[in-house]
Amino acid sequence: MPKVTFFPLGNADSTLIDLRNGEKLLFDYANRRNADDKKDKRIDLPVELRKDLGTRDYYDVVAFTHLDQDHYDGTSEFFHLDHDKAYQGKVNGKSRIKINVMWVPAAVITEELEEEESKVIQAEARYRLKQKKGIRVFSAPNRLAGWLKDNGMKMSDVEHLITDAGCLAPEFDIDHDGVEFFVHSPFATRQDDNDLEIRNDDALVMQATFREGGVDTKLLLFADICYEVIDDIVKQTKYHSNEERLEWDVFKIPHHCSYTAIGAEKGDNQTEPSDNVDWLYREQGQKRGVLVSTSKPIPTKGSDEDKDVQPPHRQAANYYKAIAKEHSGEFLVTMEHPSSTQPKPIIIEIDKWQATVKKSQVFGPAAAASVSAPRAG
Amino acid sequence: MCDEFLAIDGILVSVADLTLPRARLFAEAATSDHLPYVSCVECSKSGSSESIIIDVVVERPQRTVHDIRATERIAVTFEEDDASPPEVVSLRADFPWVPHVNLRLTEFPRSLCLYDRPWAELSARWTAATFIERIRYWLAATARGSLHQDDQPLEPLLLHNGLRIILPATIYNDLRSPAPLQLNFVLPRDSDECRTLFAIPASGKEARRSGVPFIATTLVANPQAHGLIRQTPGTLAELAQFLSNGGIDLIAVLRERLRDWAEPTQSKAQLAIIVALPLTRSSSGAIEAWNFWVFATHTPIKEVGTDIGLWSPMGDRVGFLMHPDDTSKGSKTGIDILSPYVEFSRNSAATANGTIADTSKIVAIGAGALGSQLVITLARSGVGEWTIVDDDELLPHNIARHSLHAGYVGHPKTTGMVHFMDQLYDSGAKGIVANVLRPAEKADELNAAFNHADVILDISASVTVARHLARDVSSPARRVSVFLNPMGTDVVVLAEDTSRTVTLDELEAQYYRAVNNSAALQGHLATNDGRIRYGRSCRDISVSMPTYLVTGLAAFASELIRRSLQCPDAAIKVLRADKETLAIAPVEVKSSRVSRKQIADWLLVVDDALLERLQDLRLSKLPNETGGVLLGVYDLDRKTIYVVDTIPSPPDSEEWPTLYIRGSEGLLEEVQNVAKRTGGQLEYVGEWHSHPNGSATRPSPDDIKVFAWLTEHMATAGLPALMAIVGEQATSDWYVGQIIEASSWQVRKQD
Repeated sequence: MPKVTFFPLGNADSTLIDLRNGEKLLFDYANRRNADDKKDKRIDLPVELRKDLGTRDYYDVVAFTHLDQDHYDGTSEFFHLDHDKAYQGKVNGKSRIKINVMWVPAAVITEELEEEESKVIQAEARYRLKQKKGIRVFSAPNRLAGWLKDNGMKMSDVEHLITDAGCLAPEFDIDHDGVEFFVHSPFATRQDDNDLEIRNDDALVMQATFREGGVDTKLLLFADICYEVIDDIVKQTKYHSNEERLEWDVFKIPHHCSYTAIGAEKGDNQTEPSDNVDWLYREQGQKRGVLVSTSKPIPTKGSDEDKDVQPPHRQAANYYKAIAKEHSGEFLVTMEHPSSTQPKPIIIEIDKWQATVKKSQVFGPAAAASVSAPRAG
Repeated sequence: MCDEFLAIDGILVSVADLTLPRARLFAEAATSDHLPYVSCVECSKSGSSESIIIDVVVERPQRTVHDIRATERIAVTFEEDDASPPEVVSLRADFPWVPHVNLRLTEFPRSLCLYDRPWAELSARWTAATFIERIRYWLAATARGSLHQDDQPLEPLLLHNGLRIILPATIYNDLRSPAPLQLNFVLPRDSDECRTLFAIPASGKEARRSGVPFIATTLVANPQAHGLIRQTPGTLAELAQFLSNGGIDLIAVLRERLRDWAEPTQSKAQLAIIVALPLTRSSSGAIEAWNFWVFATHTPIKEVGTDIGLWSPMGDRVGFLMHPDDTSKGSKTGIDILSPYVEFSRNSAATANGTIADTSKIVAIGAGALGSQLVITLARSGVGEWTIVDDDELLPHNIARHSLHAGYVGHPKTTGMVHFMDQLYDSGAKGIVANVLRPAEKADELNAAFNHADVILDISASVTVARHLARDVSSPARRVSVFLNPMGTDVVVLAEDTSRTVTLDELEAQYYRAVNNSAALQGHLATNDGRIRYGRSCRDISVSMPTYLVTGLAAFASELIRRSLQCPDAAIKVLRADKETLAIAPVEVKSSRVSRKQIADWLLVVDDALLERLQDLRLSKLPNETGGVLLGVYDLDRKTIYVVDTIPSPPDSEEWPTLYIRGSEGLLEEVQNVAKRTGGQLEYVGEWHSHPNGSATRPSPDDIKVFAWLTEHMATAGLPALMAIVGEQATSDWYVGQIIEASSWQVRKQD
C-alpha cells in the first residue's frame, strides 16, 4: 500500500513517498538536527532514512524542488553523487545512498548560485544532463536552450529528459505503478519573466495522484511558493480546464506555514487569502482532506515566536485550520505530531479508503525496544 | 465538535476516588502523557460500578464505511465483581448501528463488543493501555468496515438461570413456517440440579415420555441482529421490544398464530418462542448457519392470549375480541430464556468435522476391532449409510480393542454396532448377521444390499473374503479393502476406481509388488515368529497389539477412506506407525491399469507397470536377448494368475543376440526372499525372455522346448507353465498352459 511520510525537521522539508510496488521517492532532503543537542526534537534524518531503506541503497527518484538550504541541507554528506568521486564510497562508515533519477526544476541547471552545497547539487544535475541519463528537468524546453547551447549540447539529445508543466512525469504510470505526477510549475510565463531567478517561485510544484482499488487520492506538493505564484498556477490550470489537477486530499502547504503563501497581509488573527488561493483550498479540497505544515510548532498568541517574522505564522495556521474544519479534515504540523514534546514522522497511508493518517500509540515493550536504552553503569 | 453526548448515571468523582483497581489503572492510563490519542474527560461512580469517560482519537481513513468520527467519546464501566469484561459504550447520540454492537434493551448508548474470547481468557493479560488500544482499534476497523472477520463465530448467549433445552434436529426443516411445533419439554432425570431439558416432538416416538407440554412457534429475525443479551427480557412485553430491533413485531405475530391454538387441549400448553437468527457473511450473502434463542412462558397459552389482548377467558374456552386490545401487550406474562442446543445429527457431525455429510450407502463386511473403530469414526464424522455384515458375537476379550463395550457381550457384533450407531443420531444403520461367504438364508438380503450399495467395504481381515467380494459378488459398487499388517503397525487401504477398471484382487497383487520392491515398505509383511506363512489369512490380528495402535490406525484409515471416496481413481495407500517414535508416515504406492485374458482354463492378469519394466529390461540389453523369472500371485480357486513382478536375468545367464539361457545363480535365494518379504504372497509363476529387433515375438523352436521343460516342472506342483516373450514396438506375447494361443499386449502410452 502506498504511503507518504513527512519528517519532523523544524522549518525544513523532506517527504518520502513509498509506492505499492516498493519504489521510493524522496522530495527534498534536510538534515537539520544538531547531533550534540539532546533536546533537539528534530528527527535525525539520515538515521531515519537509512533505517527505512534497510539493505537497499538507492531511491528511485530524489527531487530537489528548489535550492533553498532547508530543502537540500546535508545532501553532499548522504547521497552518492556521480559527478565527483569525493561524493562516492562511504560517509561516516555508511554507504552513500544512490539516486536513480534526479528531478529538478530548470533553475537548478541555470541559476547562479552562492552556497557551496547548492553548487554541488547543481554540478550533479548538470553532469547527469550531460551524460543524458539519471535526471529529469522540469521546464519549458526553450528555457534551457541557452544553457544547452553554451555547453555544446543539442536539444534533440536531451529532449526526452525535459518535461514541461501541464505534463505527467514519464517515470510513473498510474495503471502500472499506481501513481502519476502532474507538473504545475515551473511553467513558461514564470521563468521567462524573471531576469533573476527567484528560487521559491521557480520551484517544482506537483500533484501526485494515487490510484488504489479504483479510487484516487491526490497529494499536492507545493514547495515554498508564494501566493502570487499560486495565483498564476490556478489561472493557468483553469485556462487549460485542468481543475481536477488542483484537487487535493493531502496538501503539503507551502513555505512552512508562512502567510506569504496565502495572501498579501499577515492579518491579526487569520490571514486573508487571495481569491485564487481561497478557491484552491476551499473548492478543490476533498472531504476530510489533510493539510500538512512542515514547520516548527505554531506559535501561541502573544509569545515571542508569535512576533517572529519567520514562519510558521499563527495567522496562516488559523486560515488552514478553518479550511480543515470546513472539509471535516485535519491540519497537522510536523513538529507537533503527535505532540510537540515528542514529534514523530507523519505517516499517511493510501488505499481504497483514501488517506489515513497513522495514529498509533506505542508503549511498553515495543516502545522500549524501538529506542536505545539509557546508559547503565 | 458539537455532537450531542449522552450522559451516564453516577456522581462525579476524581481519579483518586476510584476504588476498583482496574478502573484506577484505566483512568491513570487515560490521563497519561505517553498516550497522546486518549484523554480523560471525567470519572463517575454509580452503586458498585465505576465509569471513566474518555475521548479517543481514531485512526480513520478519509472515506469510511461507517460514520466513525475523528474523535469519539467513550464511557468505560467497571464492575466490582470481575466476572465480565468492562462495558464500553459510545456516548455519541448518533453513533451508527454497526457490526459488533451488543444488542441491549435500549438502543442507546451503543455498547461495543470488543472481544471474541471469554473474559476469563483475557483478564490475565489485561492492561489499561492495551484496552485503550483495543477500543481505538475497534473504532478504526469499524470505520473501514474491516472489524468483522469472515469466519468469526457469534458470542454465545449469556444466561442468568442456566437452563438448557435440546431442540430436535428437525427444527431446521420449516423455520419460516407459522405452523406450530408441538413439543414436550422433558427433564431427563428428577434431580433438582438437572438443568437440561429435551424438546421432544409430541408426535415422535418418544412422545410417551412425560413432561410439560409446550407449543413452540419459530420466528426468523433479521441477520443484522446479533450480539450479547446482557439484560434478560423478563416479560413478553420486554421480549417484544427487544425483538423489534430484529425486525419482528412479536405481539402481532403471536396474535395471529395463537388463533389456531384456542382449543382447550392446546391452550393448556405453555408457549415457547423460538427465535432463529440466520448468520450470513454479508447482508446479501447466503445463509450459512442458524443461531437460536428459546423463550418459554410461565403461563399457559390461554393466559398468554388474554395478556396480549387477543381473547378473554370464558370458562374452559376463550372468546375472541372483535379488535385486539392494544393496552395488553404481554407485560404480565413472565418468560424464561433457555439456552438452546440442537440434537446431534448427521449434518452436525459433518460440520463438527469441517466436512459435508456423506450419505453414500456403504456395506461393511466385518465388524471386528479395526472394522468397528473405522465405522464408528466415520459415522461420527457424518459419513455413510451403513449396512454391517458379520456373523460373530462379541466376546469379553474383544473389549480391549472393539468400539463396543461389555453390555454387548453375547450379542452379534452387527446388532451391537447398529444399536450403538443409532445412539449417535438417526443414522439409518442396518445389520445383517451372516457369513458373507456362506450367507445361507440371508443371501437374498445380502445381495439386495450389495446391489444398492455405493461402496462395498471389506474390513474382514480375510484375503478370501476380499477376493470373494471382488470377483464373485455382482454389484456395480466400488470395493474398498482396509486391513492391518501382521505386526499391527501399518494399515493398508486398497480402493478400486468408481468404474471398477482395476479390481480389488488386482490391486492386491500390485500392493504385493510394492512390498517386494519398495524400501519404504521394508518389514511391512514380516511376522513375529519370522516364519513364512503360506496360509491365506495373513491379515489376522493374532499378535498382541496395543489398543492405541488399532484405534489410532483405524482413525487415520477412516480419513483415508473418506478421501478415497471423494476421488474416483483407484488407490493403494499405506500408513506405517513407528512404535518407538510414534510417528505415522504415509507410503505412496502407484496403482496400475491391467490387461486381462482368458487362456483356456486360466485367467491371466498383467499390469502396465510390469509390461513397462519388461520393456525397459529388454531395451537395456539390446542387441542381446535377456530374460528372467516372473513373479505373481495365484488364485487357484478361480484359476487366476496375477503377474506383477520379475527377477531379472541372474548373473550367470547367457545373453546373445539370438539366444538366451536363463542362469540360476542366487535365483532360488532371491525367490525365497521375495516370499519372505511379501508374507508368502508373491511367488515364482513362470519365465520370460526378449526377442531382439527384427524378430517377431512368435516362439522359436527353442522357445517351445523351454516351454515344454517348464510345463514338466510346474505340472508336479499342479500349476501351469507360463511364459512371456517380449519384443519390439513394446509388444509381448504371453503363453499359459499351452504355447499355441498367445495373449499379445502392447505397453500403453502414458496418458
